[in-house]
Amino acid sequence: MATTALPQRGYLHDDTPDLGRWIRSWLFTVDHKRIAILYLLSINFFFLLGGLAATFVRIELITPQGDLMSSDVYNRMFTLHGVIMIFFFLIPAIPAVLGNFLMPLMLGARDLAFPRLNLLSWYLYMFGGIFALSAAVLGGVDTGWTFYTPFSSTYSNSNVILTITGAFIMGFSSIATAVNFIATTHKMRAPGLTWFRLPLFVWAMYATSLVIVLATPVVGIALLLVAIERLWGVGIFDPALGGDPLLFQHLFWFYSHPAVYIMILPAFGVISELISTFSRKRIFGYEFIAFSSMAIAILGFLVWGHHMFVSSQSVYSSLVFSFITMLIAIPSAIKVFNWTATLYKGSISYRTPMLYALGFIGLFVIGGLTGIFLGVVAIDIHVTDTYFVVAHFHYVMVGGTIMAYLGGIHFWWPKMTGRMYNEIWGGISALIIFVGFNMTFFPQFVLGYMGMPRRYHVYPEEFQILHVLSSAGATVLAVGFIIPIIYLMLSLKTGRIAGDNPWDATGLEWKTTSPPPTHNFEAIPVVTTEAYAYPPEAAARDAAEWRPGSPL
Amino acid sequence: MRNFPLFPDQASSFAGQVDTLYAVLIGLSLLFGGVLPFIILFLMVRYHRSNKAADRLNQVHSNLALELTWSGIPLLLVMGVFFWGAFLYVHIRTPPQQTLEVYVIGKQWMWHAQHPNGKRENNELHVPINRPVRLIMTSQDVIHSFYIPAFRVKQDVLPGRYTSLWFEATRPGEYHLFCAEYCGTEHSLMVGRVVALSLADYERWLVTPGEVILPDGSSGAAGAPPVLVPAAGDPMALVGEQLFTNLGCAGCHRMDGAGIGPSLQGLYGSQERMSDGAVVTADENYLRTSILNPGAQIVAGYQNVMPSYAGQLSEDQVNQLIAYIKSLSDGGASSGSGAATSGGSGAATGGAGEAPPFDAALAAQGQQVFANLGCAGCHRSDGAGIGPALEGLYNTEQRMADGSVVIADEAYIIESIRNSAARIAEGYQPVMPVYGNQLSDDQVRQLVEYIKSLGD
Repeated sequence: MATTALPQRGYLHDDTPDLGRWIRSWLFTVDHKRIAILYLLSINFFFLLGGLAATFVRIELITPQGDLMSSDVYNRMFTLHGVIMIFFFLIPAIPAVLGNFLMPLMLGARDLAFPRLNLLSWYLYMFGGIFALSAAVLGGVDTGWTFYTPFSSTYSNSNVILTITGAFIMGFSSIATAVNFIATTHKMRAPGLTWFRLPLFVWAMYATSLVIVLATPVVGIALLLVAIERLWGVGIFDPALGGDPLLFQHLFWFYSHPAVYIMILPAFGVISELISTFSRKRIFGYEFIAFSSMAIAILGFLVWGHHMFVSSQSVYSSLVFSFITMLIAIPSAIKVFNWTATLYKGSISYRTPMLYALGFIGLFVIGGLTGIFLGVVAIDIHVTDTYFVVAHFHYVMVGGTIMAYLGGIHFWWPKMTGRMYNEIWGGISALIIFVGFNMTFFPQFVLGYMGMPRRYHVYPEEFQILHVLSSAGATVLAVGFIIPIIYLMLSLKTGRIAGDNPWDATGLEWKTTSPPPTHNFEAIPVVTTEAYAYPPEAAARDAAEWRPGSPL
Repeated sequence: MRNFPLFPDQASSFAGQVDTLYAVLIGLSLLFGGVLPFIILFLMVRYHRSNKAADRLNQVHSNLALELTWSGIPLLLVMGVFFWGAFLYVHIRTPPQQTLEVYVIGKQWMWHAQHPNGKRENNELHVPINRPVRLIMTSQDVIHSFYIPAFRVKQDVLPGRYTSLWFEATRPGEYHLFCAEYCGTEHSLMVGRVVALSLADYERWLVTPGEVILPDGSSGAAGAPPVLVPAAGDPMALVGEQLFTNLGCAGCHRMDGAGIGPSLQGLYGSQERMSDGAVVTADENYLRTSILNPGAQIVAGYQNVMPSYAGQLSEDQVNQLIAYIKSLSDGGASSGSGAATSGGSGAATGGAGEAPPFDAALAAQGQQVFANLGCAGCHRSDGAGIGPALEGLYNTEQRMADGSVVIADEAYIIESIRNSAARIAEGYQPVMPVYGNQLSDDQVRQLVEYIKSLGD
């Protein structure tokens, strides 16, 4: 196997006859594409698990009484949902799956800068995941994903230490991936691939990586301190031991607000690729999109206090944090406007990835605008810790990150597997997800403004109608998530052979075979053009060539 | 709309202002979030690849003027919103000089409030309308958050320090009181009601006798029975003064200033110079720190000789001491409304001004006991509580967790109060405290009559 270079053979190809060696060829691989597939499987497993926990939460909330499960079980359920979805799905989803697969391909490199570190990051991820899972199996944890002290450090009787250990280890996995991306972007760009010829996905991943490297250690320290206080009673956060309960919130949000951008910046990158490709047109305002990612990455570090407006921080710090929060709305708005402008005079096709991209814009606009509501302190006082906040961050996280993740998976599926998925089912499930998502979460804005607090197992009866509506929407949403799993799996056997560049896209990843060979390119490509170098007449020609019966 | 409202009640002076800002934000959002999707839909259809007629030549790929426009306009709008919100926020966080002060203690999982005249309540807060009320809040355990949606106010309640919150109720009524910061198992049952009353009704309520559980009397420690105290005890400042005397504080903190500790006369609200040169305002948090950790800040000219009272005083007692120290200062916030001073232990035997319209006097007293013990927190009348609803209970057949069926007669009700663990209604957990001999025979009698009055 090592003796001959077989550039035309896909990375998925195996000539190892026996099972043991086949398993080893995957578990000890240093190929970024295989590691991406390992991540794809494990991350989707955690997504389903987190979704299952959400299902139980939504079923419980159909009635105002706590009738399906006890308070303790309910608290463990929403904590499991939060911990799994944030730490083991949203944070690694796009970087570890799509980023791992695409960064070397987009940069014209044979692999990431540190292939073994890349494999280590997957093992760290799995290791952290096992800790978090064992915490759930051994009785669960009931602190909420935010681990607020002194509840988590002194009062909770659940498996806080195991869960914290899981999140702590998982942090190193993120850092390893981020370090790899930064080094690869700096040192392994193909000849001619200057910074301003980089695809916007690479810019977004680069900005994300900077945030990960700078912010993750802080949450690691914060969680470690919780563990120290919990295990040895060292007074850090609990006032009864001489600690300061607010200190934890500062440390936690210093990471966890940037973490929001760790989740959404990669999504911006994916959307830029999709919009450009399916408009058959250069992206509008390349520099503005690239620099807005960097602006978000930097400003993202200066707004953590907007999670603490009612925590008793001083009036002046609240005002400063509120002000900067207002500023961060601008780069996000710039992106949305540039994507919209890209559509103008394009030749737009409604392929599944594009449907996800357009759905993303719609949902992200709502998520972003309600973020401004929450940034205005006078309103935040009323709606913080209510369902308004729950709805807001689901619009950003699910409506944003998951829509982009699914769009990206569909877009690059032919490159990853060599086969096309079923376009009709793709479109249907994208629409189901969009409708189900809005049904689930829009009522929660109303609930929140009505005053329904979050994390409530039992609630006053007047909120029931909206909760039932939300749970009904969640059912639709769940159907929308299950359909792609089925047709994507089927496509592995029955899908049409995709060819190297089924979308007629411009990136370097489309210049190699589908699936790419182990070392990506037969010869390292030389780049002479900008990203999205569609000729000016590409859109007009695409429309001219369209015939009834061609894909819409 | 009554069954499907989109806004909560507007029952405080803030509510209308917050709702106006909210409505304006919705309007601005529709400008973007409502129009942009239609622009996108238009472009999607206009430039779909099947539309061959569309002009696709002379594409533009960047335009500085356009970028500056769509950065600048939103920037101006969010700045406008920011300043509007900022002024409103400062208003919400700045209490007026004269407020009625109520001390609130949060604990897993109940709220305890004490009014200046000594009147206490559990999971309820009675306030007068049209008078600014300031809550001085602390927690005995984890972080809670005091949230009254109808007033549009919320403030986290932290252990180890005071946070405060003020509002002015505008409409009499009952409103939700929620704990908004997740605090453990029964977070969602750490709820209650805020009762806004006219000033006269509030003053009458203040002198209504009853009994409540002290926040530290019902701690979760195994077997610790709840301690019942008269709801309308002595005024807080008076109890604080007794405490001050008993602890021997007056030996050093002499009012004439000749003691080895500074005089506390006129201290509250004043600016004090510390030995390290810093100047601090002597607010509730400063007084609290000075009692529990006196070495943290030493007044200039004095020595660090005061013992720490951390661990020796309950949150309740600290509140009382502070109420006393505040009463020594006239410049500070007022707690001395007519209502606050008219109460007292003397009224303990006085009849309740607003006895519920039940015929049996015992039932009326029983209802008071029921409310003050916080029974209603679990035995919610809508059946949604963690204890069964008691409406229509009396003399009906009830199925127990062990499958047996009993008639809910007086004996059963008495047993359920005295020794709740003896028989558990089907579908419920044995979580009710055992009241044993904590209640007098008279009180149990009153409770039974009250529960009987709920059935037909």
